[in-house]
Amino acid sequence: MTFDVKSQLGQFLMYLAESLDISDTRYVEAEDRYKAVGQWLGKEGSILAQYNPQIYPQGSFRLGTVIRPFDDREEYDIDLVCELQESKEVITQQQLKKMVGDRLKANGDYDRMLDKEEGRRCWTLNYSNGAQFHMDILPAIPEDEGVKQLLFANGVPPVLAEKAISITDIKSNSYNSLDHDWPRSNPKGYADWFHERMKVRFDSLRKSMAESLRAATIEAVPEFRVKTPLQRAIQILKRHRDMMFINDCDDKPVSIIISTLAAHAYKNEADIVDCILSLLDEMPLFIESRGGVSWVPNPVNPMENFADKWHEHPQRELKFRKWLRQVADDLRSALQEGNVGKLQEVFRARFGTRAVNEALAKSEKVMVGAAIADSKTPPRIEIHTPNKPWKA
Amino acid sequence: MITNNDSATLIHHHFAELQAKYPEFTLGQNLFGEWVVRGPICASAIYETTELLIDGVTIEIKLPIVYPDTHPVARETTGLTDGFHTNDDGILCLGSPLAVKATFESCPTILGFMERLLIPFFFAFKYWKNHGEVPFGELSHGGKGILEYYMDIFDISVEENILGFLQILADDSYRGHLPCPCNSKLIIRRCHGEMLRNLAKLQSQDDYFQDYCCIIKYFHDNKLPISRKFLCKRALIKKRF
Repeated sequence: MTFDVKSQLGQFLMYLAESLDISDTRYVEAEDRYKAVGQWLGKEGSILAQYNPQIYPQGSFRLGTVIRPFDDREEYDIDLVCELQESKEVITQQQLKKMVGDRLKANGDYDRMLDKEEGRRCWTLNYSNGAQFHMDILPAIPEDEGVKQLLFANGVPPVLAEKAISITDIKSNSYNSLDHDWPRSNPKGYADWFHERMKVRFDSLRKSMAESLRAATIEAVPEFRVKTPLQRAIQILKRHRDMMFINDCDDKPVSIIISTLAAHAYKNEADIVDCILSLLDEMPLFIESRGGVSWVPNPVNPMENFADKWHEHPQRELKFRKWLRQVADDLRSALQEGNVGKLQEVFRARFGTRAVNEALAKSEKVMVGAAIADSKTPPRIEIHTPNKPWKA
Repeated sequence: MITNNDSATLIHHHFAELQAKYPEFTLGQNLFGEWVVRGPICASAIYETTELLIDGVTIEIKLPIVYPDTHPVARETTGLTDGFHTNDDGILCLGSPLAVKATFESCPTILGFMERLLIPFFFAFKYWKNHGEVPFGELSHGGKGILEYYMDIFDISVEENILGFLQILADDSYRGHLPCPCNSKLIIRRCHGEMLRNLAKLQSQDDYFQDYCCIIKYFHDNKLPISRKFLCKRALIKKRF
């Protein structure tokens, strides 16, 4: 592989990931919206105020690995947690879910936006007016101390175990009764683990961004604007997966497995090509086998298997491994070809026409700039023997 | 032989000609080294008695490596045309392949591409937006559209006869004394001979074979009969069907 081809592919992949990313405007817009929901839920006088509700994002929005929908008709899915300070001693899952739902319904706007069909675990707000996203709000309370101790005993660092929460699930056996056995989650702990995996690269990028922007402090650069090669690689993998499994949705690898294995495999590489090729080689090494069953353990709850469905649907694991090999083949053939440009059509098929076209447009260096128009009069063109438009 | 430097000089020269008339355009090179011309079109276009202002569309013209031997391609980047005669990869379908080649050949510069192909295309789009029809007609999609194009230029109405002309062009088997495939009962030389000789200069046998294959596919998909005499020699050799 020559340096030129590698740097060409690297540049292309960075532009591609930028094209797949949520725009800064959309990000800020989404953040404003969820902060507004948080304010409403915890407003003085609200029934929830006494529980000091905290609303925070989880999932790809928090990890910085969100990708844009395929086209403008689809929506971003923003997952939020609404965590109330309450104990399982005094509240059931159903009561918690209802309390959050009732508070949302008490606001005319949110009541209108609320999805008529109650979700299994969350409440969904459908924003209109071109906002192009919907929010899933997951009611939660802090996890019991006993469970946190258990997580700690299973190797989860206390600082992460501390952030575990209990969530509601309509299908849970104890949904209607006072019980300590609630479904578990730990989005904050997971995000902290994920960020720790790329901390070296993240800090160094943020520092150099602060320098180039002449920011007063490193913290002045918002975290969401810093994107490490790990985050970029995950965005690229997710889009490749979406295209690859476009007609095979049931067996499509879930994002949490991709993010977890990629974060495990990441060695803080600075170069996107080194990063993604190393991830593709090493991600399968982090799939454990426990008693013949494949496991992708949740790093903040080793008793949870993100790949629990693979046992029931063994083809999913096979397709997952095959897909990883396919991505590696696509990128290695680009390097071997010696000219990334020749593979534009392959890239369009793999990552979507729009994203690839945008990435190419971003890569343009303008050699001759626009001149200032001397005259406002547009040229007059007479059309003789025009062609009839056609489509292949 | 044209070197890279010559080619860049020619492109800059052609771009300067475009920019003199369309000053808001830029010329750039993407990371694959492809030359791209980009900018908003603003022109007043007149066809017969109708005059329309073409504005609000931003386009990207990509020059091929072998420019100007091969014509550029263009995309509309503002999304205004919303799929109007646009391929899946966003390339505008400015006409049937041969028509685009012939038109570009008549003025093989970026400005020529703009004014003879792009502006008429956007004129057609704007007119269609206002009136629900394309002022100078449009071709069907795929092989049927190519067939319609050849029927137009040969001015014949029997679909199958087009295969006879394309067979001659694809096999390079022009013989002036043979009967013309249009069924006029004249020999080719006295009928469509001149047109065939001119067409042979415009694109390669392979390109005509491509067009021939697209039309055969259309016949095949629609279960239309094809006389054996219209099968290309090369098609039989390659066992394409």
